[in-house]
Amino acid sequence: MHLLQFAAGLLAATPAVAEVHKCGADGELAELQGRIGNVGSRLRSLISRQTYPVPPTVDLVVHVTAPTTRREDGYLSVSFHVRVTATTVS
Amino acid sequence: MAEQVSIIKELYKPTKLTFNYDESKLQYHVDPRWQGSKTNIKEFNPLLEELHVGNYRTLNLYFYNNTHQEYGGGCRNPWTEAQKGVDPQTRLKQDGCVISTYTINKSSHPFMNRGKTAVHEIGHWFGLLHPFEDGGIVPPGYRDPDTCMASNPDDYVDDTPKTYPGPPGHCDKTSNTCNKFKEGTSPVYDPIDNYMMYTSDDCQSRFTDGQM
Repeated sequence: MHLLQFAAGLLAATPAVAEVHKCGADGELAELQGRIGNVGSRLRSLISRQTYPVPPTVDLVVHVTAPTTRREDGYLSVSFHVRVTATTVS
Repeated sequence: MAEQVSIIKELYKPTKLTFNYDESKLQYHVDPRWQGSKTNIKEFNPLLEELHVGNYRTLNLYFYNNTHQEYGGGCRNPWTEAQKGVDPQTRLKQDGCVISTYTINKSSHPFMNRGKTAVHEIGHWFGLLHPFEDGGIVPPGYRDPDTCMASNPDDYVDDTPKTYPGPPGHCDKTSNTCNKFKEGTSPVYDPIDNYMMYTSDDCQSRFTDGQM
């Protein structure tokens, strides 16, 4: 949390440096911008890695259903793995 | 079905969520109770309780021949049934999503025809709400809270702009239903490209970072 707050503060400070640039402090500014840019980049990288671990694979089970074996009722003709779960009407 | 599963796997890749699907275990059920006029997942409870396979790491998808154009399916999210006091064993058996076969890829449905309804419903299974959700802040006796209100957490995701759903299947890139503006001038457009909206399949292309 502290890291995030610090990072947010530092990143928020970057536009202020841009304001200084308008005043013509070019040499020092370039160096400062470079250093802050590197730190900012590093912090952004750290923040972006503050993610949850990759979740486990989800087992997917697909059920295809139909109210009857009539094509017009959405029955998909199959020749294998048919499991009738209740009385079939037609 | 293989194509539908491929679409799910592909569109969930950016989220790093992966699915293990064994086509040889595809299950077919013929039962008159799967008649297509049902438009609420609760109506399927007895069927789901009979057919559910696995545990909470198992996603059961039930495809059925729905005859309603505006109902693409329904899905259980991780907490609703627990809040309703359903006993844990029954809750597990009712877990899963029902999806209309009318919404699979290349179907004749006018706007749910790229298989993205399943992606949307699975989003609910993982806990996502609609961006136009009311955030569950409705006090008893109160209805239709304004989802555009600043105090309304809508879907609890910061980077999905507040929005109304708009007409089902629309894809209006300029819609700004909450009439919001950044810095006073730039419109905050509705997240019409989000899988959790009710926009057309052609329109939808992503989950936001906040959702992921």
